[in-house]
Amino acid sequence: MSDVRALYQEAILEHSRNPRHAALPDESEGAAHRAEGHNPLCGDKVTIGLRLDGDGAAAIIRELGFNGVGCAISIAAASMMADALQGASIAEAHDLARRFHAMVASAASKKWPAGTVNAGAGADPDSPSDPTSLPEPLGAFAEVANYPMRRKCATLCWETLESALER
Amino acid sequence: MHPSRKAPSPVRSSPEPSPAHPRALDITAIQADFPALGETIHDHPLVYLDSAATALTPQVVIDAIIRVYHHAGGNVHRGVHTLSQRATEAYEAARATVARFLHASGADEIVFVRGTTEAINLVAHGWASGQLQPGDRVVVSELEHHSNLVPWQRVCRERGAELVAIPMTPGHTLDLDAAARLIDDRARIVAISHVSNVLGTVVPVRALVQLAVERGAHVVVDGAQAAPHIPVNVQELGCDFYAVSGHKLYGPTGVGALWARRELLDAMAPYQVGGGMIREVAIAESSYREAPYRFEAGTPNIAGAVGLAAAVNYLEALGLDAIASHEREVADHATRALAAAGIPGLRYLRPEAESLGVFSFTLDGVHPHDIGTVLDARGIAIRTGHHCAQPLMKRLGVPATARASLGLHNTRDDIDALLAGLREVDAMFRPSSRSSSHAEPPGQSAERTRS
Repeated sequence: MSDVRALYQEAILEHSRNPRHAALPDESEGAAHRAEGHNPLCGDKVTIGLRLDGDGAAAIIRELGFNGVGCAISIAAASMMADALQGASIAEAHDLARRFHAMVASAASKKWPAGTVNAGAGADPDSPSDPTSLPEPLGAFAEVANYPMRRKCATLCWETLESALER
Repeated sequence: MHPSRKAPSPVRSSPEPSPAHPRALDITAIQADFPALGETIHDHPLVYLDSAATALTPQVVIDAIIRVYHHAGGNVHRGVHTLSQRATEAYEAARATVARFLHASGADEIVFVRGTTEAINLVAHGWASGQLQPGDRVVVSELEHHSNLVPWQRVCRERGAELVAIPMTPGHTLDLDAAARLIDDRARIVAISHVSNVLGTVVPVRALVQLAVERGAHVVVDGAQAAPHIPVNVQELGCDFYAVSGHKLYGPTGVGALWARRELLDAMAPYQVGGGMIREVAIAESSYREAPYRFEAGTPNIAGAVGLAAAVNYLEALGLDAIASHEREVADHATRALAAAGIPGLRYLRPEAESLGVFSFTLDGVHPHDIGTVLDARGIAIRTGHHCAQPLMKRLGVPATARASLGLHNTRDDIDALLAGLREVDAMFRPSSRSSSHAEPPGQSAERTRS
């Protein structure tokens, strides 16, 4: 049981029940960026909206909000992402996204018994991303690395954010 | 009306053992037949409740496949050496086994395909597209799996035909009055599932065949969810095409079968062409073999077909009536358990009509994927999502469900384990769930937009 509670930590459950920044910024108030993301295989959907101050990589995220329908992982991820990125620069946002992806993608899967098909496939277990390098509570998603079927739930909002930043 | 069509024949009760008193299954022995049931998942014994997605494989089937590769590893198609002869005999014996299983008129009415999806595509492309004229109608239903919907969409678009869907009743069965209106003189094809992969509803195929016969329409049945669980007799059903998947029948993946009336197969164009299905070939043109070989281009899944036959033999040795009776008992237990679970917000989508062991449910405020992950941590395998039935999900008003489905090896204990798992899900996601009302389901959606 400790296994799945390591995935569904209290922080994740709490953010899924009471998501922060769960409203899109009003588009009428100046430069707004929006993008929609969708996981067709599971039905998770998220829309990310943000307002920026300034231009280029040094532009600051004045406001970031989201709408979403989906599993607890996807909602909590969007909520924690929005928390972490209020007031961050574009460059910081891209960097955090990259580190988040690395955190949930790393660690050889513990799921395959040694000697079975696919044992040994996956990222190098000796160099996982250090989850403590991510601002709390994003490190709560570290366990997603052991649930490959749920990775896309956690990364959907980050990928959608990057789409929004491209616009 | 086509001269060879007739009304479906009445049900015969078989002499002994009778359907009312089938020989009881020895479930302990059956569980021992399935090596996968010995697996430990996250330190728990596997509780497999996903047979509607794919069934586990008994050792006899694995053995039969291995035997092909050991002893009958030649190619089919008229080789003269011994291994080729063995392969051909094994493959054709498998065809005869499947024919007998479905009560076909002969082995030549069975086409081996990759699965139900390919079977339906073959009928849509090879037969229906030659039959449909602009303005014709194809009738499906709201509860179809995508594989018995999307092929008809395409052929209707290609042929200028109209696609309509029989609606579902609130009781999760098909609205036969609506069906009678929709199956009109324009209807050429009625394509329906025998059993719903989402709700477990047993569709009244014979009643729909009756409606179709009256209008001269042909009936294509998606039997993927029926054949593993109830006796199927295509003569009694009266349909024209019946598709099954090997891997849902406790056989291997990559093989399935299409049964079709011989005269329809004779009129059908091949889906794929090439070696194995030709008679004579010149540069400019070729002639094709007779059915069913005309529809089996290339080297087939020989071991797969033999494995499928071994699975069929396994089921027939147990008796489909005995299997149906056992699964009904477990299903009844599940229905009661789900109703009496005492989990607020647990909504079991229960059919009010005859149904088999497929249970779709939702839990307020908890996404099915989260349910599935927590259950998996307890060794319990269910499926979550739209189950390849997005129109049905829309009709049910849910984006996704959690689905538990029975195989012949399941027991009441498996159901009890499922319910215990659901209680843990409930406790984990909604620790304050003991109160009876909630302002808004938490965790499921964040859809507020500032004005």
